[in-house]
Amino acid sequence: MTDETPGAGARVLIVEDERALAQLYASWLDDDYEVETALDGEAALEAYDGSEDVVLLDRRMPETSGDRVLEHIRDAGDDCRVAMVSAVTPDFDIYDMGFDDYLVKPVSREEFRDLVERMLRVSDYDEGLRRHFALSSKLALLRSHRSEAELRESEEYAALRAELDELDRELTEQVAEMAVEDIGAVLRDA
Amino acid sequence: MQREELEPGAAALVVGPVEARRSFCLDRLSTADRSAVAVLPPDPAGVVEGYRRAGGEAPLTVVARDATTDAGRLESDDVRVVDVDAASLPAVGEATLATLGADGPAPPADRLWLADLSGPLERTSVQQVYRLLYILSEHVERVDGVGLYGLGPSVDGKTTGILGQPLDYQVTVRPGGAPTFGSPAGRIDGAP
Repeated sequence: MTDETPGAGARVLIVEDERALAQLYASWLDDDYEVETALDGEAALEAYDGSEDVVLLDRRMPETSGDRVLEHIRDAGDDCRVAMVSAVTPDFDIYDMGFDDYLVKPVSREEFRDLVERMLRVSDYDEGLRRHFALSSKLALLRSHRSEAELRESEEYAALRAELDELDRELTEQVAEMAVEDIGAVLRDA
Repeated sequence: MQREELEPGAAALVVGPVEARRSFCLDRLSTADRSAVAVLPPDPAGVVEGYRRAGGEAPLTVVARDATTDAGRLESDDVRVVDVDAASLPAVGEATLATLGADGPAPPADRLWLADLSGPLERTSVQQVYRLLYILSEHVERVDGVGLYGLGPSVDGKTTGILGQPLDYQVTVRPGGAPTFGSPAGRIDGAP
């Protein structure tokens, strides 16, 4: 594992009904992430417990399809990134599907790893923005109920400001790595 | 803070009546070196005209709802119209960010005016609008541009305070009067 790998140590669930392919995908990731595989939709529903950071889903599987697994994950309301990795060429039916990304098979190791890194980067940035908003809301609340003199003397207020400044620096570094469409995904998450 | 103008890299909440905001922002928009972008103006045609009247010479992109109906009439060599679903803040955000990038059809914008945050605040949430402001201001700063974000004076103080947090200034404008430059609502910059 390298320190530079975005989201290193994150939990990734791979759902793929071709065993050899599932193993290959897992081998591409398991140096950097905690990887679990499920070999059909039913196994995916059993394996998924909401703690996953990323789920990579085949669409066309016997009995329970990837689309059904995706619905289950979205219905659960967990903060998890989901990408479809499928031989099915996207059609207009994707309009109201709740995935975050889509790769058409066959995929290379590089594409697969890029996909996971990109989704984890979006996830980190999304979480950072949530914290940023929460801190800003607290500061605005204090400003509307405390005098300027009280704020100047408050160590707690100063600590909130310092935390916000630090978070600003982190987010500035993160956003430099992100594409416009990834930033759009962050806006969709709010 | 005494200030009379916004330096490159700055982002400001511009608070005041519609016409005063429009006049202030069009003046700043017209100083673009590379290109300017006006986002969700209520009257795209009027903005194009006002931009030219204010002396704007750099290419202008207008990101607007139902703009396609006006696009043929408004577009020229240096005016581009991007039609977006104004109800979708992600769509507005992506279209606007594209104007700040190097890959767009116009040179990357160095002056951005998001005409009025009141509509997005009614349609979405404070948090979603906050995210949009934060992301846009971050990008504007990276290209050394100036970002202007309009807000009506009737928006409550708490919301104004939250939305101002990621920005550098709050500019209060009034009809016929000089704009007042200050820190975003009540920010205590000298606090320990």
